[in-house]
Amino acid sequence: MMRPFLSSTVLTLALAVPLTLPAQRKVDVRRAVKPDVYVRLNGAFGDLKVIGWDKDTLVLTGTLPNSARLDPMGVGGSGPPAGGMKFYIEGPSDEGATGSLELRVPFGATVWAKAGSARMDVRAITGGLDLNVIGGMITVTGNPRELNVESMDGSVEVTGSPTWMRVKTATGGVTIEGSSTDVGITTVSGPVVLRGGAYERTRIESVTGDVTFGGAIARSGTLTIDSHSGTITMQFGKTASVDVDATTITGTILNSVTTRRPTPGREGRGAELALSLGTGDARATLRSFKGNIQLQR
Amino acid sequence: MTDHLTFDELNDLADRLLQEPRLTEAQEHVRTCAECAGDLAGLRTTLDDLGSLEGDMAPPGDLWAEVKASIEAGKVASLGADTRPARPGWWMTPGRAAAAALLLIAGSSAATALLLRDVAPPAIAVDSDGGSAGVTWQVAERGYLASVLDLRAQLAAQADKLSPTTIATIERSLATIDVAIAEAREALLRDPANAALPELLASNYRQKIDLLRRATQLASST
Repeated sequence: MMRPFLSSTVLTLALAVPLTLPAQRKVDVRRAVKPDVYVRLNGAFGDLKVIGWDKDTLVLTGTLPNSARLDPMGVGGSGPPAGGMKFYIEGPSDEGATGSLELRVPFGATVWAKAGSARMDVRAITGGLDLNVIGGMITVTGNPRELNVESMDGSVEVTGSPTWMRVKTATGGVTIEGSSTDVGITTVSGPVVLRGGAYERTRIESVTGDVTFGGAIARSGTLTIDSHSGTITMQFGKTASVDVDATTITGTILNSVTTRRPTPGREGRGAELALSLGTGDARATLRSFKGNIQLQR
Repeated sequence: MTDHLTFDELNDLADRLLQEPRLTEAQEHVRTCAECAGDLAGLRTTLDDLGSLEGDMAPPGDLWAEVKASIEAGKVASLGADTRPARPGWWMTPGRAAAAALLLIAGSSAATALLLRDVAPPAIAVDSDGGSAGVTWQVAERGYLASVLDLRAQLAAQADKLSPTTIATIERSLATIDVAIAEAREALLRDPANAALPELLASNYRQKIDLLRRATQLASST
């Protein structure tokens, strides 16, 4: 789990002095770090790019409003490579923040970033990512070992193959293109789309958001989708091998995959359908209260 | 008049809002229909209990410890035998769903407190499917509601740290979840043997608790 600690040797530093420039203030922080450095970045910024690279150096550049205050900790100019660093950006308003930052860290770093309304774009990190915004957008490209994303109304897009992934939104949409061993997605009303490669253990929960699963379920894998009123769309590949159990309490099931027809649910309402494709190596459970379920090729 | 009274009509009757000539018809029906008479009595009892709620909404300490342990153990009940006669699909009318949702939303804290007191929600029997013998849905629901109460109180104490826009987003989403909970719960009460309903209802409760938890964390870190 991603609850690492900052190295006890982390230094609190003289750079924690507010700088004031006329309109925009340049940020340029450089520090030798360990390959698996843990970095926390929290506060008022509008744009953040995080890029993994093959150097054991952390570089934070960009601009902040002159009214913003940057407090870096653990950024000693010399000494052994830092195992942990922390930045706090204080501005007049988290949600109206305009600062733009670029953070370069070793591939294997773990990055924790949190902002009010912001655009976060993260690339080429193989360590861990813990990203949190209220609004805006989070884009992750690459194969982090762990990916935890939380957003209220900001959208989330992931392209790659995080081993472990959790995404939570209130109204923001979620789009995953890739594969994963362990996926958990919850949203209240945002649309959810998963596609690309194989997903081993996947659980998706929505209240009103539509859910589309267009990936493959890995051999012996499981997929569970629960939605109260969103439409659940399951798109099967030609070689799909899966047992499917679909239930909607008051909605309908449209099966375009086999000739099997759904049966009426309890008390004649809703619909239920169980079918097996291939040798049934995986299992998909699709449940909706009043949303429709569509099974497609 | 042979059809049962709708949930809206029962509520209007209990609230003395039903107008003539429907009022006389409904009163006559209740006199001859034990099922509607029972539902009406239940509604009136609930309204009386809501009216007599005490100011202190905090869950009892021992209950909180119990439900916390229950939640942490990941207990999710599965349903078994019917305990109430089902009236086919009655929860499906929009009026009833809306009324149930309204009741839940309007009395979010009050209803939660009510459920945590001696006046428990209608019991729903549970079998031992999935190895959850002895765990009742009622206990699980009380656990969820205790969590909601606790998180609501935390959020209320820190709400001034969140922007109005953020609070509006959170409240909209909570209202969406509350409607879903109300619909699923009403359906479950009428069809407790339906295996999919407790899963869907539990999913809605988890969404509510998680959203409140995240909102609380946002407020505390701002």
